[in-house]
Amino acid sequence: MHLPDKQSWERISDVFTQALEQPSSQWKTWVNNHLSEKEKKQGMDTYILKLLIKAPRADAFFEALQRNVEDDLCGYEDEINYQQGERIGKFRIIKELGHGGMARVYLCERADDQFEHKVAVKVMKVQGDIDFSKERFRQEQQILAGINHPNIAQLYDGGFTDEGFPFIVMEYIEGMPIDEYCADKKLTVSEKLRLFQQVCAAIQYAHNQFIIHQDIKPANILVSKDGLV
Amino acid sequence: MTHHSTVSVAEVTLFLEEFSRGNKKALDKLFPIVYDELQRGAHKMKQQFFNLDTFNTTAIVHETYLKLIHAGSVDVKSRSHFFHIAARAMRQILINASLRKQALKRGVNPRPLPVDELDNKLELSDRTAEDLLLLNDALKKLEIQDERQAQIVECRFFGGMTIEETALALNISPATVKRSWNLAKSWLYVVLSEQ
Repeated sequence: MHLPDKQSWERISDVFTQALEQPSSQWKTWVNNHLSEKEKKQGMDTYILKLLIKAPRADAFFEALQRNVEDDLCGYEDEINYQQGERIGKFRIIKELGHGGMARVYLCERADDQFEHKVAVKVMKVQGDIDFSKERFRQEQQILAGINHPNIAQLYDGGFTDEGFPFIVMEYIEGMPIDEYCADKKLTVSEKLRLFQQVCAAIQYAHNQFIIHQDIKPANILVSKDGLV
Repeated sequence: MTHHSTVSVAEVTLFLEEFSRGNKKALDKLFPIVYDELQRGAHKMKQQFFNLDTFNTTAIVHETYLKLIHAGSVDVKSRSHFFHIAARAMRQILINASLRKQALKRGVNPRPLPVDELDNKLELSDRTAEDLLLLNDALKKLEIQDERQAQIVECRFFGGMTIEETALALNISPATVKRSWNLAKSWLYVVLSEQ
């Protein structure tokens, strides 16, 4: 992508910045309405739209690159890297759902086709004392297996991959992070509060079982299409 | 031992204050010191933090700052200037490590390295090295067009600086940092994905 002259760049920067604040469905109209005919003739509209469309992916790219640099500097390689179609235990990978510093999560289905059931499989990196990690992982699995609440993703199974990475199999929730859900559905305050009551119910349940989540944030709270947390 | 081993914290602090007051020459003295210390810090952290998942460039930069500067005696602005210098040094450290990785991959040994050269020990994966070099090339193009925008990328990406720290270091408003960073990210990503 070429760089235009300085003056056009300033202009692109302005329109891009303002358009970015609009919902993505409005970008095209917005850019169209805010550029002059002359600017459009120069192709500025396509240029800006290209930048807008790539903005979310650019964020993800820079975050991933930063994480990769840090992982490399830390001295551990990212050994967990399963491809689509490969198997983890009884499950076949459909796609990767995401990864963080410590784990990768895959969307999987039963490999033996016994019943059609999608699950999320979380494979964890092992660092340091492997025996200790394995022991802790087993304990955690036992605690989680005892949890059964409509607002908490059910744990089904767990084990170790052929390479020795611990993994857990969880209920796959098709949903949206709670903050996005509220914005998307334009919920009123009382609707938001009702949603929040569900969150509280789940947390209260977990706390009663002496379990502390330690990483509760909007991205970890998913809401399904029918409004179930 | 490296060449700056005789420089004291008081002296480094003085260089930083001079630089903050606008004496650009002080940068020539500061940069190599910061570069060496960052590299040392990165290497040390690699050993220390091997078992933890909390490791990031921000932590190395802050650690280096505390080690080199009399933190109590400089103001927030000078501190931000230091972070920017560190961000630039970090960029260079990572690019040097990437170039070495690439050279090794091609089977060319770039140059014999002295044993104590620490950046030698910063191992990057092929993929990361490749991405960093592409990013650096694109960033150089952006630098020619809009130097400040490139500096924002240095601060935010290579230095792990916050929007506020970047704004202070570059003497611009946080709002400008935010919008420039968004545009730069998108532009760089488009250029990289067209490679």
